[in-house]
Amino acid sequence: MSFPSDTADKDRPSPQEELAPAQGNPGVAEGEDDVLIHWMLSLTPLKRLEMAQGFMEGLIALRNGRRV
Amino acid sequence: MDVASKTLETLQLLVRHGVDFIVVGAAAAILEGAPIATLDLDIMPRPSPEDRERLLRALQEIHARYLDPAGRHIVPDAGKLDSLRLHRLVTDLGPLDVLSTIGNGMTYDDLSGETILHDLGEMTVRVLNLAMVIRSKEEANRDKDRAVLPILRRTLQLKEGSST
Repeated sequence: MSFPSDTADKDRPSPQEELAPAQGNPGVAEGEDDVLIHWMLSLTPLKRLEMAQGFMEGLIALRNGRRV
Repeated sequence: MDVASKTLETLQLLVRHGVDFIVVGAAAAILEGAPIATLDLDIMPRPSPEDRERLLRALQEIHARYLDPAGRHIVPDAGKLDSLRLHRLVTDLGPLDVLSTIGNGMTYDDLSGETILHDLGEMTVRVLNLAMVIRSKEEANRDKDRAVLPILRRTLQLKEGSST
């Protein structure tokens, strides 16, 4: 896949660079996912609980082979 | 076990029965913002005769019984609640662990000053703060505790960074 070049945006990372897991990416450090943590922290405690509960219920439904 | 803990419903039940308790363990970490998962809810009730009776009434309502490998039907009672450190229960609302201590013997009184009130819509619950959840898991030092410690520590770092 190739992307058109745009001299006006020459300082901007290419889409390939944006999508590639860059070395030292602050979002992913040694297996920890800062983006996920920031997203979780952005939720209210009630939403955090609902999200975690829904996740586990979904996993269990998948394990049991039920359609969800 | 086929059901995850219906955590919100269990908390509502405990609040409705007037039980004074602290949410501890993985559920506390989730409420504090850590992106982890758990199948059960861990609570530490206030060790008073009044709260023990309220807790027993709540547990009866959801048909709590001990998770017994031999399959026996053993229900919690006042004597057991007073004498055992850990009550691993199954209920109509899923697994529920009732603890009198966590980590290296930290009690309700030790932890009551280390809690945060979290608003969960129609109720407010007391939740062990993330730093103390981390400490309790460091002290417990089981495989499952060590497995989540990196993400709990990173969550605490980011929380503290965002609050300054």
